[in-house]
Amino acid sequence: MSENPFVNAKANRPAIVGLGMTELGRVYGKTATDFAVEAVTLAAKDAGISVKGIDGVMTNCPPGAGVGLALQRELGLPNLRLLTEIQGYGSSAGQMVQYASMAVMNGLADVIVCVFADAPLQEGKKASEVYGNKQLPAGMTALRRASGIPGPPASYAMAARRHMETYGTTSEQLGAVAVAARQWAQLNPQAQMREPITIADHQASRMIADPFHLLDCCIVSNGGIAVIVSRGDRAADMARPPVYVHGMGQAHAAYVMERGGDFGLVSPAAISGPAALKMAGVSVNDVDMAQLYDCFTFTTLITLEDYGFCAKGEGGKFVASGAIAPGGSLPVNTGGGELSGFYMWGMTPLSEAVIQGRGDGGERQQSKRDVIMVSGNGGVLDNHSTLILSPHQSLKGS
Amino acid sequence: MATVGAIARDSQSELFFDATERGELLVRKCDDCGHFNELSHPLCTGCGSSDLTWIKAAGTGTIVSWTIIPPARNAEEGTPSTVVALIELAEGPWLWAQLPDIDMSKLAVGAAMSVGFVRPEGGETLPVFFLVS
Repeated sequence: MSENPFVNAKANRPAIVGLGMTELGRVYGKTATDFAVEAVTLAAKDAGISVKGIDGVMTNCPPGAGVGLALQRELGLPNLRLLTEIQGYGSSAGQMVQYASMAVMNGLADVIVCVFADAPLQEGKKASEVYGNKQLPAGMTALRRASGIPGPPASYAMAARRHMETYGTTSEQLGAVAVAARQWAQLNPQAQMREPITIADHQASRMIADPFHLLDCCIVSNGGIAVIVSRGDRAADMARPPVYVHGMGQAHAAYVMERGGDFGLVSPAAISGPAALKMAGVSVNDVDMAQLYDCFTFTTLITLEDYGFCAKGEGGKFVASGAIAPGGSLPVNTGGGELSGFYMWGMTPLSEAVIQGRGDGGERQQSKRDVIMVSGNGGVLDNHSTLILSPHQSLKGS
Repeated sequence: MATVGAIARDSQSELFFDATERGELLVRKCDDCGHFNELSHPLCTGCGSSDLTWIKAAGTGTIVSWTIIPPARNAEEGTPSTVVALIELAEGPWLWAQLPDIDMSKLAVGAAMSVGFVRPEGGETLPVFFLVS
């Protein structure tokens, strides 16, 4: 038997016992904090508990969105045992579940809500106007932006181009990721983008930052999502089936940008993924589905490679084979992901994992759901978190 | 020519921008282990030392990767695309830099480049790169 407490956890195994999702997308007139309160309220209701039963709160939002420690006051919870803001960019949702899992296993708190909320969309404004930074940047770190890189799409495009030139990955192969996500989104009533698309549509969509077309980029959404983390021994009192946490990992690259650097070729998923699988006592071959952070099509592709679902450099062929689309060998982003579903940072893949783990996926529900792998990705492939989730308290061999 | 953005100097970048104004590109070399560092790092990525010295770079490098950003949809007709590359300097560090006026058919990993300088209005002088013909 492994010494690892996660492998041996039984009654005290951490589990996601509540999920709250507000209306997502072009929802106006609410602040991020409004969405956060609503998401927490919905998560508590979903778990069948009172908000007063929450004794820990973790928040995460994009810088400036304003969801933080004051949420405790908004929620009217005067006696929390745990309260903190987490910032790991797109890896934050996974990180929150990880810290909450360790806290509930060790009795620091028993019922911890982890919430993300954001409200970047403003009526009548384009996303680029909202996200664009207008201040004069200063110093050496500003050289990237001054050189003409306005934001994340062009930075990720730089990474993707390197992968393409090194491994022969093509734009059409990236398009296959977008098409698969859209096919899944068509099966998800909560998805924002449900019109069918083809590879030709992907190729014809306007260029954002070569090699990325519009359809290589995620959408933008207002809303909030919360999950409640507790232990197996408490889950019996809750309303919904628990989704257990079996493995977790993180890796942070802060790429050294110099000769020999692997920016664009390998992401920290290559460390985080295997670490999480090992903790869960399973291999990548045991994974029934993957819910992957897909801010861009390329992010899905490189994560698939780094997790080991295909060999390094073979991600393009893997996705073009139809493997990740409905009916494929590895269902990926079964709710449409961030590309076509909604963009709630790491809560997008995490919420879909909970939905699938519970068997609540309706038309898109997968029958094989014993081992669900979830990724979070932040920065420009800098920050990574991985979760291994399952509806079962014990996985094979543990 | 496509435009580079204006940026301000700070205490960490004074020497670098004094040099770009003279038409020189500087890189940071570690006094302890000799490693040439990414320009924005205050500590040596090789050994962790904080004793780094700015020295004059050769001003040559090669393309590691690139992206082409089309003009904004409301830009004037004829506005060129912006080409930005990661340049591996001869000394080893990578630099995000614009490639003004580049023939896009010549974009390739390993293409030889040499530095030039532009000064955007209201900002410091910045390095850009041109193909070595």
